[in-house]
Amino acid sequence: MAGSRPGSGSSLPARLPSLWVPLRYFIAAQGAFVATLLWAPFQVSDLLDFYYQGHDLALTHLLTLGWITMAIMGASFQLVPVALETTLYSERLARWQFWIMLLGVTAMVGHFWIGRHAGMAFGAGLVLVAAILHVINMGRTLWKLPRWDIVAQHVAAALTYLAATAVMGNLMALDKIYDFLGGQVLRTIHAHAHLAGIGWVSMMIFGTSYKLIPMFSLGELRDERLARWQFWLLNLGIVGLFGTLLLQSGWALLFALLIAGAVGLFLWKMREVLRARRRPRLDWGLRHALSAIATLAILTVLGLWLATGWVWSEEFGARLAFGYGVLALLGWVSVMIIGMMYKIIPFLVWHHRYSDFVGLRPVPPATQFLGETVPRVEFWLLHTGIQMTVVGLIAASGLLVQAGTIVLALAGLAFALALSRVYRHLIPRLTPLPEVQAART
Amino acid sequence: MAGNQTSGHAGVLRPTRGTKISELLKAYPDMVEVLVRYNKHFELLRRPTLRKLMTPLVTIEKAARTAQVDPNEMLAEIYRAIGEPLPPELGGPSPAPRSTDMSMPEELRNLSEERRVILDVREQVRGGEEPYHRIMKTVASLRADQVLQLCNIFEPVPLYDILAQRGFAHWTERRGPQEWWITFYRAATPAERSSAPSAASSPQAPAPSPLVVDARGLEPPQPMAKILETLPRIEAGGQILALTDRRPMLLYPKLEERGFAYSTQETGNGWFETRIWK
Repeated sequence: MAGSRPGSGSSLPARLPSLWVPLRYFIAAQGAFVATLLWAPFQVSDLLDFYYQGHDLALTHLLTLGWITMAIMGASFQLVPVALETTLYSERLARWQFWIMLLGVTAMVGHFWIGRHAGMAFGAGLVLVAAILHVINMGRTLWKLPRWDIVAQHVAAALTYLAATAVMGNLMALDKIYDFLGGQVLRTIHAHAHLAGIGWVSMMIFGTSYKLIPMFSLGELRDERLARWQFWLLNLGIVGLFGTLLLQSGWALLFALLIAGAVGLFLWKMREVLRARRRPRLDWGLRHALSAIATLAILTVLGLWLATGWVWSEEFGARLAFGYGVLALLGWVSVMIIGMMYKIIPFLVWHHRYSDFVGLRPVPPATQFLGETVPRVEFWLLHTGIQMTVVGLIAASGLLVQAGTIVLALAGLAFALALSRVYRHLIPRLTPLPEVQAART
Repeated sequence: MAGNQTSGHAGVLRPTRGTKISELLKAYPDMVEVLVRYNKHFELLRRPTLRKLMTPLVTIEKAARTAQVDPNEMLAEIYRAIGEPLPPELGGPSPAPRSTDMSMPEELRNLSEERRVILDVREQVRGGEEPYHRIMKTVASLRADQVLQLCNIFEPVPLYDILAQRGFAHWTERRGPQEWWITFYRAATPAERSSAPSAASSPQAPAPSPLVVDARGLEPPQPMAKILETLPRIEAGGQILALTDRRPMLLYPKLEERGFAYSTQETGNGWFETRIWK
């Protein structure tokens, strides 16, 4: 066989974890999100009050741990074979992690609500254990890879910040009992929030976006160089910002600028990917992702403003900071997670229910599970609710916050309805397969 | 800004993404024609003054971005045009010796006209079309004693492997900057050679053509669904050649469950080829 190239086939045995490994995280996360949105209209007076108090912290942690962190953990497990082309290190560890995390978040949120510090610290301890299990499981998974591409680098960095955030959260929880941090709660809460929001959550979203946005928009990430710059700028920025926020140093602005630079590069790369996409029509999953990316741009400007410290009163600065936090958690992170869920959950459900039948029987395509109307209604309700709530919080308008949170609650219900239409495919009784047909006529 | 990473040896320029257009045109003045095909603005390079002014500032990578094409794709095209083997990161050259520099095999000497089937796909490739189906159709129509003489603007390395699996050896000649002639012929085994020296007298049952499933440009899980739907159509001894944008990681367990073997290869052109057989 002169001249023929030797076969260089690769058949790495990467496997999708079993359905319930990611799914139980997703269902818990979605439950927490809908619960937060339904709860918020009853908390308007607390929301308009100073944000560092029990009820707001309960609501915030239900959102950040129950919704955001649970969703990212579940998505991490599902995306390992697709994004990293390998198999998850341990499904058993992932199952243990889930129950510990669920108990931890419930204990934390409940004890924040009733103002019991010891119970809250216990919950935080469990969340730390769950976070460590997650880091071990994902770390061992990453360890097996022959090389770390831009996605793996982001995941590895995000895991480090997750561990750091959880450790810091535990120190803050213990401080409430033993009071050893010197009473500088605002500094620590700002540093803790940015470490979580940028280091853990945004780092993870940036990394997975480099894989998922090209995959679902049929675009292409052609050159990783700017993405690598973005990665290092973001790392430098978050480490610096964390330190300077903790020390209340004026240098925070410099690191905020570095982060803004990283965000700019990320936006640029996403623009490139989307301009090169082969499918012009954007579905609701991608529309959510794009609107989240647009919100990130606004958020970055707000963040820079806060970093300058140029606000006309301390009270306005506190309201602006809270509006900024809500916009980050809902407008950027939540909308992005919803967008990704609208893509990966139909895929997960389709794969579990129908992939064994493909070629043997007619099966419905995954793209039809979600439908058009409900995600569209949810999209507009969510964005309207976010804008009203954020503006209401910054302008201290109780009426606007009340109306905004009600619209958000409706968005939460629409989100639950949209997903229930996907999940019903897991129940064969509700979605029977057509009669057995010969695959070939 | 990346530095100039041009590598070279024995006076031959081996362009990289960082190579300046000025260096490229100095070594290979004809490359203007290749660049012009990507973007009409590169017509300006035909003017000597502009060429002098612009090209030292622009790398191949930058030029590719201006033309909105993948720098690797442009670089691969440049390599093909200058007739140099592709560097490994662009999908070549294969570590195994190729027949490019070999003398004509015994089987191909004194071939009569009627045993040659000539297929020139140069225009089709220049027009941006994928000639794969046409080539495979022609291969399928070959009589046992016929050979295919394929003319292309570059060396179609992935095709060697695909046709080798169907019992074809090849002999490659480069006759010009964009003129590659590859003769695919059914190689006689050593036993056949000794017992039946005439190629015509050693008929070999042609393997069935691979069923090509182009699952590129689809979002997950459609590629997997499309490939799995085709599995029942594999005939005895046949195979599927599936083209996908990504390595089809989630397809493999499904193939194993259904008793199929598979092998995936990254083509270097931005997609993956997976062969599936029973």
